[in-house]
Amino acid sequence: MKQVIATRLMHWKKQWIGLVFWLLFPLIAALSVTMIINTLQEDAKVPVGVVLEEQTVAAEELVEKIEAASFIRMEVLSEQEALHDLEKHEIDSVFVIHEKFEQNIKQNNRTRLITGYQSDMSFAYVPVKEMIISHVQQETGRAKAAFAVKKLEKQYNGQEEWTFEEITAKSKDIQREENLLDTALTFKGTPEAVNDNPRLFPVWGLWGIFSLLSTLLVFDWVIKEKQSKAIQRLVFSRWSLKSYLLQNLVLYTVVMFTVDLFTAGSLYFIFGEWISPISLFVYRLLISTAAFLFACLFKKPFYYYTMSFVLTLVIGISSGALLPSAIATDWDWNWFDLINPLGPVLSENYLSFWPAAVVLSFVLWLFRKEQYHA
Amino acid sequence: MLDVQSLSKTYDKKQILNNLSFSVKPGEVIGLVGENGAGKSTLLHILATLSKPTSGTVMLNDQPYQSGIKKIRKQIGFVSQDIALWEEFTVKENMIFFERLSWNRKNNEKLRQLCNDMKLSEWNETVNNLSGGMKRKLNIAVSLIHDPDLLLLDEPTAGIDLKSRKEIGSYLSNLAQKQGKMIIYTSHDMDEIMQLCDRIYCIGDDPFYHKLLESYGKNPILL
Repeated sequence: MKQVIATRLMHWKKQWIGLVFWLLFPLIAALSVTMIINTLQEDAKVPVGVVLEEQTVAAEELVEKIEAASFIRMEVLSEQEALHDLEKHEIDSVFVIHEKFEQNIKQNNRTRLITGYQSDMSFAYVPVKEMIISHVQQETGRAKAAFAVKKLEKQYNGQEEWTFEEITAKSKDIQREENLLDTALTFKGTPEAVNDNPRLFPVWGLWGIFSLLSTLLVFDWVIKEKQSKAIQRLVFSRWSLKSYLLQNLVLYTVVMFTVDLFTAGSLYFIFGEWISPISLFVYRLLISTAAFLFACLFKKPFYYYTMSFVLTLVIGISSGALLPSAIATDWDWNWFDLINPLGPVLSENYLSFWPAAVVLSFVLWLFRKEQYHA
Repeated sequence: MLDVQSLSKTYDKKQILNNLSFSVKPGEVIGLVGENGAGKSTLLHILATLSKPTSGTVMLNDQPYQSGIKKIRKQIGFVSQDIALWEEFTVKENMIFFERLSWNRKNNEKLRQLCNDMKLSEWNETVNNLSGGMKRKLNIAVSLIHDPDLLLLDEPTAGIDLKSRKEIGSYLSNLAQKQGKMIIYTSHDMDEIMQLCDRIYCIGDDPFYHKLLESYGKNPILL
């Protein structure tokens, strides 16, 4: 193995730029695409201006509520700036949270809490207004309930002496824990859909596809070397062609898995998206072996490259890694998990058709008779 | 010693080699001549274990080819018509690459000496930049890394200049005489064959080669 590593290093020394590029390509491409998509999504959000006339907890909570809306990009501005930007149509609408907002909510006073401004081109005004009304109603209701509790406590000579803040905090805790507003709707007789479809994790899906492409392209060495005249010399060397190819396959897999681990660390650091090293290893083993066997079928790199791009595109689309919408249909796609080659990386499904097919093909290749004989 | 007995080879019902028997002693250089398609390369491929004979036996240093292919291949150096080298590697890198995969270990000094003996001094030049003659020399040098007893050369001097041809011929003569290597050589250059070979085997029944050899004052040995 040591000698084969030495010869492989000699090849890599000649091709290091291309090799480093293709090894880092999945990480760079997945990062770039995800960041571009994030930027585009951010740019596609409707800009809404908020003017805060007071810095109270209730006002901050409302701001957080608006900010959390997926379709809104909120900016806190002065009233003058906000109205100027609205006039220039740089923002969609403006909401001014007036002074004594918190005090009015506590007093169950629901008038003149907020003033909204819109232009003739506004289209997010109504949904944001509805969201604010809903929030204000919720908070005034909470305040009303807190006062009712205090009143009851006084009426029945309670010993607890809860403050208004304690009651509202407890109310929020219960709301969070009970998850009162989260309801799953299903058709009669059908089980509740589990909303953890792993195909909707785009970063690792993208990485899986780019990794497949880069692995296929890196493994062109199999064709180039098998077709070279120089490799015929292996007949008169310590290693058979099969043994030479096998050792190189192991070496490539180890190097690529090391890069995969680095990728996993990077993606976790940047996006907080983690993948189990076992999934990563199974996927690496699967695509390296598949690329190796696939390359063994070709004599000309051009046809191999063409088929590699076609294969990657087909798997990318059909696996749902690139286009999750393609699988969000009425079809029952459970069967697809069985044949999805990205299974190990997307759903940690190790026992599927592809690993079995690759293992079987590899065993057949391993026991196939060598070309040169006596 | 190489001993070939009753060797025949048939491809698709066509008889290529018919009942050949001959032997080669250490230090001998044997030339194979014959028209294209007569079976020279086929014979070399069988002797190099790259092809199976239809019938007959081959023994190298008293070991039959069927006894163990690895043991036989350790003793054979094969130089094909093609330049079997990594084109983007230097002379040095090619020598080191194949030394790493070889049975015998040789240090860089010995590898360089092997090239120098063949008058191949461009140690750090890439193969792409070498002349045809230099490539042929390196092609032979790589085949000698594992010190084979039997060297099989299939038109090793095809398409190269006269100087390189003479240098290769001179090196091979020395190799046979001083190191006792058995060399079997095919070429279409009759002058080269006449100068280099101790015996000349004529493969095929084309009378042209028989007459040509007689005109050189040699009795062709018909195979």
